[in-house]
Amino acid sequence: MRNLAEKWSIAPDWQAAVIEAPGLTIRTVIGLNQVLVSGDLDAWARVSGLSGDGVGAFGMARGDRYAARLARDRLLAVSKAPFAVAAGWHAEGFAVTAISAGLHVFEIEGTAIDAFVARGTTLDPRQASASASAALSFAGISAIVYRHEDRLRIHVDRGLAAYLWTWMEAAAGNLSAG
Amino acid sequence: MTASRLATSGGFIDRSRPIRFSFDGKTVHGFAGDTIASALLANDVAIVGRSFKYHRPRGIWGAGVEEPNALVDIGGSTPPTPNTRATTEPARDGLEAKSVNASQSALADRNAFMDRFSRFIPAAFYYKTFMWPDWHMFEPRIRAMAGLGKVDKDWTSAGSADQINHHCDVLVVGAGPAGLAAARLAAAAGQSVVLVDDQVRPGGSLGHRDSEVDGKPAKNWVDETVAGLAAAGHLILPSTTAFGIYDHNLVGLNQRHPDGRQDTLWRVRPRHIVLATGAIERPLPFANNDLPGIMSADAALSYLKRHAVLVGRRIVVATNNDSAYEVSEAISQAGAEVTLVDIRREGMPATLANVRLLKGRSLASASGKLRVDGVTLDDGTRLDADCVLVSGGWTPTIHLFGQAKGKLAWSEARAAFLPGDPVDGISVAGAAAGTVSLKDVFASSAKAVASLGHTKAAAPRSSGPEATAGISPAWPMPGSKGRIWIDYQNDVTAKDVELAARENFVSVEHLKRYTTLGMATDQGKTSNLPGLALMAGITGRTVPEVGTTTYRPPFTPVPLASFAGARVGELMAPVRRLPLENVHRGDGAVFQEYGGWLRPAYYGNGDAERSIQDEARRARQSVALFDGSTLGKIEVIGPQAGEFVDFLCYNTMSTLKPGRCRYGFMLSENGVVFDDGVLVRLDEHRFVVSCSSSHVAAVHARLEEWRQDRFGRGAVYIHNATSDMATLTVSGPNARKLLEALDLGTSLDDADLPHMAVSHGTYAGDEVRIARVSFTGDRSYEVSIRADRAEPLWAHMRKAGQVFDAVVIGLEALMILRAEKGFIVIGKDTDGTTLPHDLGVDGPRTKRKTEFVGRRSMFTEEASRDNRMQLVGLTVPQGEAPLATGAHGIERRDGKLKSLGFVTSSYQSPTLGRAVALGLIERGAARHGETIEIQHLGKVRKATIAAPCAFDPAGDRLHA
Amino acid sequence: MQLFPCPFCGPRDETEFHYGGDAGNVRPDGTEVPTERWAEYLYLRTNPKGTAREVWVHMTCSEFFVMERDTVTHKVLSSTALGGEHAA
Repeated sequence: MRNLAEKWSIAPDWQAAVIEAPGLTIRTVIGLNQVLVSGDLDAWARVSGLSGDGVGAFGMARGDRYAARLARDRLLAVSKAPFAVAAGWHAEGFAVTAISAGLHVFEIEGTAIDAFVARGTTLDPRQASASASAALSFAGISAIVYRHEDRLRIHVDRGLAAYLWTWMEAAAGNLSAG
Repeated sequence: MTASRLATSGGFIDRSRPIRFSFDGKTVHGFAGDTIASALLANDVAIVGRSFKYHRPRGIWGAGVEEPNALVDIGGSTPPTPNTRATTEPARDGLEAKSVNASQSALADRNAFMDRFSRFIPAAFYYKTFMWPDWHMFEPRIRAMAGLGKVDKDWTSAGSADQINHHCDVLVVGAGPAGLAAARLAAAAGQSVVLVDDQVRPGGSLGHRDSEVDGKPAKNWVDETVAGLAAAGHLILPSTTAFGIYDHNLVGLNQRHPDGRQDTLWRVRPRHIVLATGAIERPLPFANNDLPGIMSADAALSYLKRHAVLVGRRIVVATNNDSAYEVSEAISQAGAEVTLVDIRREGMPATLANVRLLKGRSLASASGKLRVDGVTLDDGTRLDADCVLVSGGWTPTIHLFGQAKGKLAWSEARAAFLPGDPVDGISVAGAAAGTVSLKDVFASSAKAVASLGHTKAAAPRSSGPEATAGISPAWPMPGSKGRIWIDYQNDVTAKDVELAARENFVSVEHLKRYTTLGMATDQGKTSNLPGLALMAGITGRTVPEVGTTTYRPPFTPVPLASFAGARVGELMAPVRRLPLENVHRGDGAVFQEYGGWLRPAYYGNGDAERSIQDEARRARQSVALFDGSTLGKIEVIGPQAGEFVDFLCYNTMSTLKPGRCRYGFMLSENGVVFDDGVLVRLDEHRFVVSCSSSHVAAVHARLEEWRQDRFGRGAVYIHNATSDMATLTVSGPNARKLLEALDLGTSLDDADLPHMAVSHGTYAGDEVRIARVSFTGDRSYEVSIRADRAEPLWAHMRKAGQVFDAVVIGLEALMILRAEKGFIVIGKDTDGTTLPHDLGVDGPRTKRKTEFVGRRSMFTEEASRDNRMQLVGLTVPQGEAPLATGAHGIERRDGKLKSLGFVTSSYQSPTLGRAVALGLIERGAARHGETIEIQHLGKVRKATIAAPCAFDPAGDRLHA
Repeated sequence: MQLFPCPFCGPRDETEFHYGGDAGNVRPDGTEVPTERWAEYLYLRTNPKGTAREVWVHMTCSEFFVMERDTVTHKVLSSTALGGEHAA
C-alpha cells in the first residue's frame, strides 16, 4: 500500500508559518471566536449588540467584534472575546452554532493584496458593491473573504487550510516572479 | 546570395546587442529584437521545415501568428516548447530551435521521398487504404512520419503557470492603429482600458507601413500613445494573444514572457470589447506556390522595415490588390530588382519608379527544387527570381467575433467576410472591420468607442498618402494545372478539394474533416477562405453560400500549462485534512484517500495486511482508538426541526428524545438509499445529522433544498459544523474504563449514558460531546471536542490506554470490524438500485404514515419485485481465502449463466479466524443457508448465504 | 464562462453554481399518486431549446432560486429566489 502521506505537503505550524513575497505577507490569525448565526438577523442584532448586516465580499470590517454576511439569512460573527450567546435555537428567531475551530483564518497584508486576490477569484474586489455575501469561491474552494482594517481576511474550512496554504505559496511565488 | 541583412535601419533590432542561437544544430546570428524568423532570413536560411504529409521543403511565409510553415520546437535557454511559430517567437541567446516533422533537419529530411508518392496519397488516402486488416497495425508508423513538433517528455516545470483574473471597462484586442486609437479614445472617456497585442512591440502595421499620425511619424505616435496609456494606469500587455471569447464576454489571454517564464493566463471580464485584430494576407493560387522563397508581400515589408532584412535580390511580386505596390516600391528602394505582376489591368499607377510592372498578368507556376528559382506567367513568360512575394488580398481577423457568435457578412468589394450584425458588448474596428485607409481606420475606432461615454479627445488624424482597397478576386479555380497548395500546414492542394467535392463532401465542415483543410496549429488562417472559395467555384455556389466553419477557441495554440495554472500536483484535487494528521504522521500512520479525506489506513511500518489484521484483532480484545473526525456534523436547528428531519429521513426521527440518537437512512426520491448515519437530538429544536464522511456536501445541499423549497426559510436552519469538532472514537470491551480515566466530568454509567444516547462533559475546560454509538459492534463512545483542542485529549487517551493494551486503528481495521457485524457502507454495499427494504429495513415503508423523501417509490412495481437483490452475508469454508470483492454469484438457468448479484465487501476476520463477506444477492434474505457459486476471473468457488452479521449476532458486546 | 445572478449575492461565476432541476416540477405527495404522475415527477424533462426555467443553487451561500435563461444564446432573463426575491 503506497503511503499517500508523501503526496501531500505537511501542514505547517500555524503559529509560526508565514508566506512572504514582495508586498505580501500571509499569516494565520489564531484564537478568534466564530459563530454561525441564521434566521432573523435583526433579532440576533438586538440580542448580541452586533450589526445584523455583516460585510459582503471584500467589504470592510473593523474592530474586535464584527460580522461577515454569508447568505440571505446567515452570517458569521467574529470576535476576539468569546460570545456570551448559547449555541442552538433562540426563541427570538435565530440559530447559533460555534465554528471557531471549524474555520481557519488567514490574514493577508501588503500592497499586493489586489494582485493576490486576482489569482484567487473571478470576483472584482474593486467593485464598490462587490457582492452582498462574503462567501465566494477562492482558489477553487468555498471561502469567506473580506477586508479587516487594511488587511484581507480569508476563512476556509479547517480541512482545506493546508491546501489553501500550498496554493498561496504558489501564488506568492508567481507574484514574486512577475 | 539571396536574403540578407542590410547595413542600416531596422526599427526593431538593437545592433549593439548581438545574439546567437541554433537552428537544426547550426549557429544563427541575430540581434536583440529579432524574431527567430527574421534572424533565419537574415542568415538566408530558406528551408525552415518539412510539410506535414509529403515532407516538402517549406520556408517562412508570414511575419505573425498566421504562419503555417515556420514552426519550430524550441529549447536550450528557454523551457522546451513544441510548434512555436518562428515568426512570433523572439530570438534569444542560447536558444535551440529545431524544425518540425523533419528527420535530421529541414534541409536534409530523410522522409523527403514521400513527396514523390504524393499522387498516390491524396486526401482521405489513409481512411481508404489502411482499413484492412486493422488501422492500428499501420497507425504507429504513419503517426511517426506525419505530424508536427515533439514534446520533451523528460522536462518538468519548476512551478505552475500564473493565472490572473482581471476586470476593466474596455478590452482592446490588437495594438495596431485601430486598437491604439480605440484605447486612447476609451481612456479619454474615463474608461479603464486593457490593451493586448500578440506582437512583442505594439504598433501593428504602423511598424512597417509608412504613415504620419497627428502630424508626426507613426512610430513616434505609437510610442507616445503607449507611454500615455501606461502612465495613466491602463494595462498594456504585449506578447499576449486574446485566444478566446467565452460566454458573457469573458476573454482568455495567453501572455508570453521574454524571460522564458511559463506563460500567464488572463481571464478578463470587460464591460466592452473592441476587436482591432487586423487582417491577414492571403496567398495566390499557382502551381508550386509552396516553395521556400515564396512569401507574403506584407511580411517581406515587415522584415525590411523592422529587422532590416531584404528577403531577396531578384524579386517577383504578384498581386491582385493595391497593397503590394507599397511593398514593391520599398524593396526596390532597398536595392532589390523588382517585377510586379498585377492580375488587374486597371487601377493603381501604370508605372512605378524602378519597378517593372506587368499588368493583367498572373503567375501560372513557380519552379525550383529546394527553393524558388523563378516563375512562369499565364502567358508563358519565364522570370528568374530568388524570391516571390504574393498578395492575394486580405482576410479580416474576425475569429473572436465569430467565437462570440457574431454573424459574418460577405463583402464583394473586399472579397472577404466582414463582421455582420453587432454582438452585445463587442465592436470591431480597423482592418478587422474591413477598413483600409488610416483615415477610415481611425473613424472606425471612434465609432467603436462612441457608445462608451463622452470622450474628451478627438480621433487621431492621419496625413500623407492613404492606402487603397482595390482588389480583384483571384481564387483557386477548378481544373487548374499543377499542384496548387491551398493549405500549407496540412498539405492540402486544390486537387484535394476537388476530390472532396467529387465524393460529395461539399459542406464546408465536411471539407475540413475530409481534407484536413484548416486544421492543426494555424487553423487555416491563410487557407480557409481560398479553400471555401474553390469549393464555391466547383459546386457553382457563391462564397457566402458555402460559408465558413465554426470559429472556436483558441485562436492560436495555448499551452495546456496555462489552462491548468496552479491546479497541478497536489493542488489539482485537494483532499481534506484531519485536525490530528500531523500526530498520526508522527505515529507512523500509512495514509490513503477515503471519500475526499486523507486518513490513516493503518499504523506502523510493518506489512500492511498483517498490521491491519493485528489492529482488528486487538480492537476486539481490549480497546481501540480511532480518529473519526470526518463524520458529518450538520446541525438542523429551528422550530420545525423535528418535522423537517422526518421528511428528510426514511425513519421517523421526531419521536427521538433529547439526548438520544437513532440510526437511519436518507433516500433519494427514486427510493434508492442515498446515505446512512446517526441522527442526534440535542434538544427540542436541534438535531445533528452525522452523515457519511464523503456525503457531507451532498447531504448539506439536499437539506438546504428541501428547507427552501418545501418548508420555507423560517422553519429550520442548516449549519454545517463538520470541521469544528474532532471526533475520537473509543471502542471495545474496555472502552468505558479508558474513558473513565479521562475524567470528563459526566457519568458514564449505562443508566445515564446507555447505548444510542448522548451526554456532555468537559475536558481541560472545553466542552466535549460523548455519543454512545457503535460502528464496530463493541461498546463505543464517540468523543467530540473542538478540533483545535483535540491533540491533548488524544494524547491523554493514548496514555490512559496503555494499561489496557489499547490499539490505535486505521480505517482498514475499522472496515473489517464493521463487516464482521454486517454494518454497511453506502455506495460500497449498496448501489444505485438498492432500496431500504433490500437492506432488511422494512419498518418505515410499511408503518410510516407521514410523507418522506422517496416514499412513493417504495410502492412501485420495481420496488415490489420479489426477486430483488438483498443484503446477505457470504461464508466460505474455514481456511479458504476471502472472496474477491465484486465477484458475481452465478446460477445456470436454461443452460445460460446468470448473475445473482455480487460480493460487496470481503475481509479476513482475525477474530473469527475465517473470511467474512457481504453481498447483494437475488432473493438473498430468504436463502440463508443456501450454497451458491461465486465466479471471479473464470474461477468458480462456493459460498453459503447467511445473515449479514457474522459476529455477536445477539449484540451483547454493545453492553459488555 | 457564464455569469449567473444569485438573487442575494448578485452576478457570480458559473462555477459557484449547481444545477437543481427543472423549475415547476412540483412534488406530488402521498402513496396514492398514480404511477405515471410519479414517473413524470422523477424522470420526464422537457429540455427546451430557447427559454428554460430552471432551479439553481448558489453553492457558496446556499440560495436556491429559479433562473430563466435562453439555452441557445445563454442570455439570462430573470433570477428569483424561492422566497420570491428578484436579483437586482
